Amino acid sequence: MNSGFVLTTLMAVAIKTPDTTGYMKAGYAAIAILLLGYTLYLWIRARKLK
Amino acid sequence: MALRRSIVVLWAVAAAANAVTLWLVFTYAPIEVQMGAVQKIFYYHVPSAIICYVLLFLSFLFSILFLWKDEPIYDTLAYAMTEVGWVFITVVLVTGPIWGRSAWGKWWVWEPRLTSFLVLWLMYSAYLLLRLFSRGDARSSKIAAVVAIIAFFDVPIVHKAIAWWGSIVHPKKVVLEPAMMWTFFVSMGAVFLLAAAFALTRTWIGIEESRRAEREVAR
Repeated sequence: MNSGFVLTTLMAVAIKTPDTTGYMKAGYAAIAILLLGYTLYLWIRARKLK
Repeated sequence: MALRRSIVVLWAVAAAANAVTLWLVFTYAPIEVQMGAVQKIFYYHVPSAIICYVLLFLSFLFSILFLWKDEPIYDTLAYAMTEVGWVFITVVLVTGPIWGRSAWGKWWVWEPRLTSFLVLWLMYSAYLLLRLFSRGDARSSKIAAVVAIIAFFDVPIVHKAIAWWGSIVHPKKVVLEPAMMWTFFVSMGAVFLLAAAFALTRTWIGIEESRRAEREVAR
């Protein structure tokens, strides 16, 4: 839910950024949110097993 | 204990490889002339697509083995591979429109590659929802295995979509200059290591959770 909100915000920022660097930043921010978000999810699940 | 140690080592190697990749992407790889800086999304977009094919193939394989041998470990492995594969499908599906909006002026085009890839995401989302809302019994595991097997048939369709039906936005062949090629090879390795760390961790969690559930039933 939260990551969906963040991704929508990033896309909204990307629309308003006229150059390709803005889209590149939005793309890498999205990659970071998804991969770090999943890492955090796994870490929380692993911690519950201790 | 040995598995846990391997997971920690794999995470450390994957983190280092991704740090090197990011350094290469932003300092070594040149900016593409036509598309500009946004083309750098390529270094995670394409490896994520290739890795998701590998993970979904493993999910397909373990689902067949589960239905054939009826061993719970294959179900655990299939679930883990599908979940990690879904994460990488999502990376591709989110970064693609951002790249496309900058390079082609459109967020989305209903062309065969994109449409079949969206169908892939929807089918594996259905698989994960099925797992999430089922009771974890043998029957729902078998239904999930059938869904994973059917869903995998979309992978060759996605892969061959451009050759079979053409594409408005995707090129048939990508030619990279040496610096871009080396960066791509390193990013491919880094994403592969990250996917391996995800898959191994998720499998370990699945095994441990199953053990706990068995212990609770035995009490």
